Amino acid sequence: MRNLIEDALRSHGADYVEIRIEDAARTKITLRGRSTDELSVSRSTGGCVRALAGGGWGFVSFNDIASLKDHVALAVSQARLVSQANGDSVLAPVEPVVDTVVPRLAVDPRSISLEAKQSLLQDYSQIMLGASPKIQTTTVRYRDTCSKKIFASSEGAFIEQEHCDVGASCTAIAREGDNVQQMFIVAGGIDGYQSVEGQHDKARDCARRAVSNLDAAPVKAGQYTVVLNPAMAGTFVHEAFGHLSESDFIYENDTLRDMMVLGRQFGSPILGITDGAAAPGHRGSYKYDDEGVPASLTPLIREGVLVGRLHSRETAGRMGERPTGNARAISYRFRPIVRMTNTYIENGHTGFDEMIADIDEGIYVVNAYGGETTMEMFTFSAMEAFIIRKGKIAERVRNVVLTGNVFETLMHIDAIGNDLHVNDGGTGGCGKGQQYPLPVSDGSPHIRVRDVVVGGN
Amino acid sequence: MKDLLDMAARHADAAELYLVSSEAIPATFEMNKLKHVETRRMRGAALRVIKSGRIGFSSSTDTSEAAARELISAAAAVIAKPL
Repeated sequence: MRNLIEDALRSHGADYVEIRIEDAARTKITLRGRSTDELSVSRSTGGCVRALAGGGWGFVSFNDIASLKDHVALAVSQARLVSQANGDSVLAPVEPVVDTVVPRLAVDPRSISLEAKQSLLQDYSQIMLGASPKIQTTTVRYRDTCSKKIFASSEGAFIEQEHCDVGASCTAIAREGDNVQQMFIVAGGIDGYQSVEGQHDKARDCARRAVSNLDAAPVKAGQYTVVLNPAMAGTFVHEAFGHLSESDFIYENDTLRDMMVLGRQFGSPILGITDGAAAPGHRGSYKYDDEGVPASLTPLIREGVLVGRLHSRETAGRMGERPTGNARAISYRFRPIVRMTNTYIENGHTGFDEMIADIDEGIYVVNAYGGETTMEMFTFSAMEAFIIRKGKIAERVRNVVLTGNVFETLMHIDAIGNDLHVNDGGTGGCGKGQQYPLPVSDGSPHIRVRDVVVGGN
Repeated sequence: MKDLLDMAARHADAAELYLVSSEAIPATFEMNKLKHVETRRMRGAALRVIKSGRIGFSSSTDTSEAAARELISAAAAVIAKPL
């Protein structure tokens, strides 16, 4: 394989050529209630060539690896075609790397039979269904992807990386008449199959919490001081702020470029936000990105000030900044684009009790279902929420939806906890363009935010 | 390919084999100028087996004989599971 690749990288006539080869095995299992809805095992082997000539890009993806030289020639001819119309691409320089990376797996998911995986999920289903007669249905999902990737470039890089991502989610739906409440938990990691085992107690608790939510009163809409738990704050920092740090958006969008000016004050001096695949052991961790650039930790906000953003070699080249190792592709079918990895709010100094002590009436938001963002505006729905009354956590409320402007909201963060938690696991990931699901993590300590608009019924 | 189907049929009541090969060239123009062009050259095999009313499906991008055997065992493993 190495000879084939190195041979194809000779005498291509372009300014730069890279070849990626990938071999991936995937298992997917989905259970609805007690029955297995989906069970599949697939394997895909393929590669792609990306060529830069005269400032234009060509890209060819393929399954027939033997004809590599032919694919390179086609990518180079496409690059020349594009360069006549759009020939302004440049790559920021990096030191070419030669390395081999193997994963550290406590239990290799490939060594576990399909029966054993299915039976673990059935246990989780049974536990949730048995937790209460009010549990109407459950969904349990499992995914594993083990891939071996080779990256080689005409600059002399040759990197082999093996990676295993394992994830599971358990969803319980409780129902009483028209009142339907849904709750889910996630598990998983990049260190092996054991990361999805032993979730029995959490699955039972998840079902019970879904039932408890049936009795919660809908929240009264208004402006509140809110405390977000690490999962909710992590979703907020990824969706509302993280995407704005992706330099391909910034480069192509004048409005965003005017907003994301380095040196601009985004929050109070207690706020720090970081992204980086070099943070070890999380879902978005790796050693080299899909352009062969070493992973790093990129400070995005320090002491409330915007100090950095995420780059591929191309966006770094165009903007005259340094590559950050954030060029990622979900598979060989796609070119690498600027993506997040592990994105988190840095620890502060405020303990949880101290954080809620002087709140007369506020809301404690626990976990997110999901949300939507349009430029700087966001909407997130909470999975669970509680009233904070006179400095104490009080009754459950439901239908909590947070909306606002990300810049105002970042300014309103006035307390940051010292309990940073990174949210890993699950079977989904981040989506951008046509590339979904990309494994990422997000994280945060507990944070307190003033004057948040909470919508309810 | 006939051999492969015969092999699959030993595990099932019925078996279907698809072989796919395609080439697509999506191009994007912006402001009447060529922005991106790429080529997607795909090929692969998919096997569907039916046994006692259950369907097993597996696919591979590798069309070699070794991969074909892997396809059959994967599809057979899937139908062996009670759904």
